[in-house]
Amino acid sequence: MKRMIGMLCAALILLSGCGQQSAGQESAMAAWERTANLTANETPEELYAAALKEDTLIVYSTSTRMIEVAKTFEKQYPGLTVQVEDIREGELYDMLRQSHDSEAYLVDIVCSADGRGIMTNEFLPQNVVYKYVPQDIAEALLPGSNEELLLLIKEAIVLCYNDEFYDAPPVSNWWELTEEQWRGKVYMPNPVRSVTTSVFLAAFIQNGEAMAQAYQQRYGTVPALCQGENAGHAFIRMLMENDVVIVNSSDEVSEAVAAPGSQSPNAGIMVTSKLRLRNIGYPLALSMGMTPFDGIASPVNIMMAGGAKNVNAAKLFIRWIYGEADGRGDGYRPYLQSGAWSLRSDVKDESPIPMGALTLHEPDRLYLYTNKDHIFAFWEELVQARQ
Amino acid sequence: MKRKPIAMILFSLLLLVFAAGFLFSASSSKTPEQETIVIAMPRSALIRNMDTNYYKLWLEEQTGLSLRFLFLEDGYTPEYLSNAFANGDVRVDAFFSLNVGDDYLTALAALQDYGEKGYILPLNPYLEESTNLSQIFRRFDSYDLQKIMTASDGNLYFMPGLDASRGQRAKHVFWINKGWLSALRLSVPQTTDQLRQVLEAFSTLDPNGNGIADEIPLCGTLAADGQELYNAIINSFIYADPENSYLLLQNGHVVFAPETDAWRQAMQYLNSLYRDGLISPLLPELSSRSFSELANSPADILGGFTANRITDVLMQNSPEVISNFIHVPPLAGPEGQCNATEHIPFPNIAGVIPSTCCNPQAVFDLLDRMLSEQAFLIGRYGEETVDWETAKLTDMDFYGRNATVRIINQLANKVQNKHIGELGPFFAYPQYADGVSFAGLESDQEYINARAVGAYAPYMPDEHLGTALYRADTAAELQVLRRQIDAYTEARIVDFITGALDPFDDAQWDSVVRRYDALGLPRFLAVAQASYTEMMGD
Repeated sequence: MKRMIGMLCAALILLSGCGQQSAGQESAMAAWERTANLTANETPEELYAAALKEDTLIVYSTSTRMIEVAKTFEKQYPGLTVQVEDIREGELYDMLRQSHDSEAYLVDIVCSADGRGIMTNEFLPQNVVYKYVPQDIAEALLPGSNEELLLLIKEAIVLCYNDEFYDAPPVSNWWELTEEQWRGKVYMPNPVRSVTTSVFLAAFIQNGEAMAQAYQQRYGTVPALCQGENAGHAFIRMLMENDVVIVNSSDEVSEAVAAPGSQSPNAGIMVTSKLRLRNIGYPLALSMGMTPFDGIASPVNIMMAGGAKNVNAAKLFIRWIYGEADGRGDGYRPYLQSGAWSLRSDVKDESPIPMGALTLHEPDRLYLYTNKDHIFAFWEELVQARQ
Repeated sequence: MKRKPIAMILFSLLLLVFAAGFLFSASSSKTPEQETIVIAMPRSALIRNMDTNYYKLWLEEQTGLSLRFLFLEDGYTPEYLSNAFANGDVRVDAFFSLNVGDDYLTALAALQDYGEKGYILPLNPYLEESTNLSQIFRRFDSYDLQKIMTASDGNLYFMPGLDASRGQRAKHVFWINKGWLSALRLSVPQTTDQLRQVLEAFSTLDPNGNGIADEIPLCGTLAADGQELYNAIINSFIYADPENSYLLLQNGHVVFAPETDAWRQAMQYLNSLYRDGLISPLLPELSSRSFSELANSPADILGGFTANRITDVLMQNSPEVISNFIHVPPLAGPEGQCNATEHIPFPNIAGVIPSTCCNPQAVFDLLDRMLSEQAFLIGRYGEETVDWETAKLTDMDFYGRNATVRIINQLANKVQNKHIGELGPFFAYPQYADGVSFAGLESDQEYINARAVGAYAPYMPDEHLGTALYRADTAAELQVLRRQIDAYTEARIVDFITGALDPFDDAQWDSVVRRYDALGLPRFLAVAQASYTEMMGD
């Protein structure tokens, strides 16, 4: 009995301790929110003056383009320095979580695609990240880009081909890639390391019904399914059975499909941002008119880290990355290259195909968050079967 | 005569180092039954504390020995080592990472000399079938490693440090400024003609956008291996293999590239680039450091360079500079020649047992233990489950195959206390050295280098001299001949590029080629051919 009472007391002490810690964290974050004043309407001059008293701005980003933004920011605002940590998305989540939970607050800005729904479903409700929208930029943002997360640009995961080899898109239905003529000719990044590719897989699984209809449309029948599968699972399985070539990155897919001078007959599943390689001679083209959709949207978001120590520099940087109030600043430019779409109504991107011309499945962050284990288990099963 | 006092001073310094080491070791604790082994090795700023180093402690646990380390200062000379080896009063049981020659054959000859003088021990008596070294000899398939490591007196004098993995095989990789290409909407060049067009655009169209004509289309340095620029371009005309004195094979016959018409065309092309200001006039004079400063300049002034690995030139902590560059696959020349130099890695002199050693068998066993798979994994990646773990089924390595090792905590090029930076014997087992899992970051420098290796590998030659010039029985004669031939060739390349000699002038060209006879080229070719034929027959 005494032992039980002792254990109960210990549990109560632990619980009360946890409660106090949690309340402490909330109040610390509430204090930060007050100081950060994320709804204030400050001019760039005011922010610059305040930022000069702060330390180096730390940005965690999954895109190397951020390095270019940092360069122009430092040039525009002498005396301010930016350190960009170019990291993959999984690592970004871990570092951000650690920085927050340890109350070290080592990062000021995070930029990612939220391909696993963690930003939306964990970090936002837990105040690990906050949205900061400069008021004079908010009006210019396209509908849908200023909701839970602040979206910077939109990209997509699509099928690409070599337009020096093919005059027109070589397929119009995703199921064609499971046919014999495409055996070993389709390239795709490893979804275990490429978050965008895991989003691609999830979209097909989530859209099993649409994939079944697409199959019916091409073959006049229903796809043969294994136990527990829908047509989305079946498509991915059959793609694997058709020797889809798994590589490490979209860069490698670009090379397999459109290395300059290669006249390659291959096709590749990849992120549209690599279409900018056309600028240096890669004849990459996007396959439009695909059934049931052309691809999966992959918007990139930019958020402020809760507890950020360099709030003024962070605000100024977010203004800068959107090109300032009129969108003409150099900060937005690296994100406007072919294959990425501007989310400002007043700024045009360089993509030859307008975003509206593509049928894109919008990622469902809750689905991604709740199904990530299922998707990876399914993938592992397919890899195992191929060994 | 002048060298003796220097040697004496150095020897005194060495004694001081040793004395300090013994004072230090006297303060260390060890169990009474443990035998102490004293190892002299180069100092490394990246190792935090040898006493508590994880790899060192693991070796002690595995062998039951107590290890003490003494540090050799940078720049020690052969005299310094001779004295160290010869001095019976100072006890050293093993030397790690000995630098006893500028090239492999010189080092091997130096070791043989030390062996014949009785300074170091031949290791043959300890080489049993069950040792890791014997197993490596049997399994290593790039060349006959045992033969290559054996001195002409038939003795084996050292334990190897060898990484012959895929990542080590490419040389003279061409890197071009992707930012400039993109700014000017230019394609990655595929031919030497296109390269010229790109360089002309770099030179005249202000690709860095600062309004100043400060762009340097191409530059390099003659002071660093792989960064001399011209070998990558010669490869578009004829196979360029400076490690083998520019010899190549054509249907089993040894050919000397610098006397061919294709070589002359390469010199003409390089000369024209230099003359037109597309290769920097700084090339012949820049030190390695100055070139690195130029390449890493935040002003973004360099269009292209060559390097075996991108981080040989660009600083690892400058992702903003590294992200500007992309590898250029081997360029096709006017005759369609498109080659990539294949590097055949040779073993380092990683472990030597001096005759002062108190227990050669125990020390050999220690060094051999360092050649095990487990030692390699710890020695390169650190502590299992803390710094690395076995890769998962779905992990892929940098080359797109199933990975074997997943890095948890990256130790490379950091101050750490998990391993000794491969300063002692090691063997890089390819399944692990090439099998590191790709972590998903496209800007990872290892990944950037691996992609370049992937692009260059298809252009490496089917026929390769391999180790033909490194056989102990012919080494001495070849070494003398090739030294003078190599020096002459390198000097004439620079002369042709800079215009000190005119590659378009028949008389000057003929004169350069004729000179090779006087340097012993016919004999060199005959010996090389015989060595190659014998190697293929082995």
